[in-house]
Amino acid sequence: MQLDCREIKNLFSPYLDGELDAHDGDRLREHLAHCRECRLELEAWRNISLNVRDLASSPLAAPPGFAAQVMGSIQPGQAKKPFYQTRRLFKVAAGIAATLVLAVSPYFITLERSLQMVEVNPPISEEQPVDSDWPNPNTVADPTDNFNTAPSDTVPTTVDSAADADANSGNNNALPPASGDIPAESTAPADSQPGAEVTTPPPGNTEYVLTSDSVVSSLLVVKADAVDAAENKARELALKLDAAFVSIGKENNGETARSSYKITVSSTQADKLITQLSALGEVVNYQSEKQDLSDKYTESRARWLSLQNQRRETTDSTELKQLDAQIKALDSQLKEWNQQTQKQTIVLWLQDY
Amino acid sequence: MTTASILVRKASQGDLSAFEQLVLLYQDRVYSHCVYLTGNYDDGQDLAQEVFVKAFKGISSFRGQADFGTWLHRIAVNAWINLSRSKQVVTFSIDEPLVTQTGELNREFFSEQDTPLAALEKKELSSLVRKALLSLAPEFRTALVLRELEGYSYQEIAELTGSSLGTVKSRINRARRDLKKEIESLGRL
Repeated sequence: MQLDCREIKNLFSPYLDGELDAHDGDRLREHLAHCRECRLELEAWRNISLNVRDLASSPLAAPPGFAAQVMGSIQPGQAKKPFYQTRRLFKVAAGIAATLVLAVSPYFITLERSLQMVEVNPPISEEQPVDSDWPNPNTVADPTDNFNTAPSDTVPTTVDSAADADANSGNNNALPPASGDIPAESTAPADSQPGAEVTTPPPGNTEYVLTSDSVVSSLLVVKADAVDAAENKARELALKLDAAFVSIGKENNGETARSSYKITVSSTQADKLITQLSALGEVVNYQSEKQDLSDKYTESRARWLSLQNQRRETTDSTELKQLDAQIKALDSQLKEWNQQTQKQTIVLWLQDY
Repeated sequence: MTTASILVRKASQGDLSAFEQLVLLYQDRVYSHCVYLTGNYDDGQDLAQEVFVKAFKGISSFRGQADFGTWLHRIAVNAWINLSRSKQVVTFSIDEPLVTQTGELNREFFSEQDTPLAALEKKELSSLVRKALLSLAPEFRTALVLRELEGYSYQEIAELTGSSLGTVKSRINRARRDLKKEIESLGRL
């Protein structure tokens, strides 16, 4: 029986993957012999398939601080919540109207990592004032908050990425890992770490302190006469305050046009910017959310302190190098968090009347 | 013995620093793989982190018969399949429209795409393919990733995902068809 083009296309993938039985293979070839359209279509599928496979050869770069996050998660005795649940719960807890939470969730997620830290010794070098007249009384920041510069200028460890380039080739029959306990840590091996650039942290004179256990994010919905003009003005206001202005999306249901933006601004300028943005039109909604991050902070700090203590107690040069590498990675993560925490995110919705 | 093999041996003896080096060596590949499996960057990062945690816990069972990177990928696949089965994950693609009460909202990310270089990159085929792949429905994307990036057979995919062979065949075919459609659509932008 002759198959039509639609039925033939159902055989394309099994054919490309070598999963087609002989009978169907014959029918496919017979069809292709006289159907130019299907031949071209199959060729297009083949090219796309090759391009998908090529993605493995140019992997995406992992986010900064990723390795430190991993290492912070594998310390013996630390039971972490499943990551997915944490993030989902965070989104739920955000308390913003459901559709809006969905719309901006990628950005709220990023705030989950933000922590407030301060280098207390050596003394604070650059104190920034914190505005306390936040429009929503529920979101007033901790009056004791200080925003300070991150400690040290450690450089993230770099590693030659040309290791074992054959990782992605073909299938394998390796067994999935056993879900056993974390192995006991052995004494430090004698081998040195090639390429590990070691920065010696000053033991005992640096401490990360949680100055605020929360991150504030807010939602501002403004009705404006002309959304485009309001957007231009909002962008201009944001730029004046060195804020990052990113369009999240535009929506038009035929009756109402609405645009949304993510604005990341210095915490010290957030109130000012919100006031200015509020003047773009009629504020129809304003909500603010404070997310408690103390657990995650405490976890990270405990690991950092533990490493510092280990470092003080050891005299073995190899172990010192290892500890320094770990401390450096964690420093990098904490530094990144510190940078994030000094920002506040405003989700702005502009809609016409 | 390769660098990775040496590090694996040390890590299996509890050497945290060696394991950290392994993370640094493989993080891009694992992260990338996890993004393709989950369909978005945040969940991809979470999954990648979980992969390394599981790898650390199970590294003593790694006998070196397979490449360490391949072993990590296998962990990622298992973790993702288990997670998908548990239905605890509500996946959404960064590129699919958001359905709100007032209509569809198309996400736009301009942060890096405003530059001429980024605009050019956007037009490149690999970028289009990546974007299109992430936009596929989860069940189609998973099947295709397992096939194209992992090289699993249809039977293996069926066993991994708990689906019938016919379903796998259908999903992969549908995934490629949707992928082509999406690439063509993106290419016209």
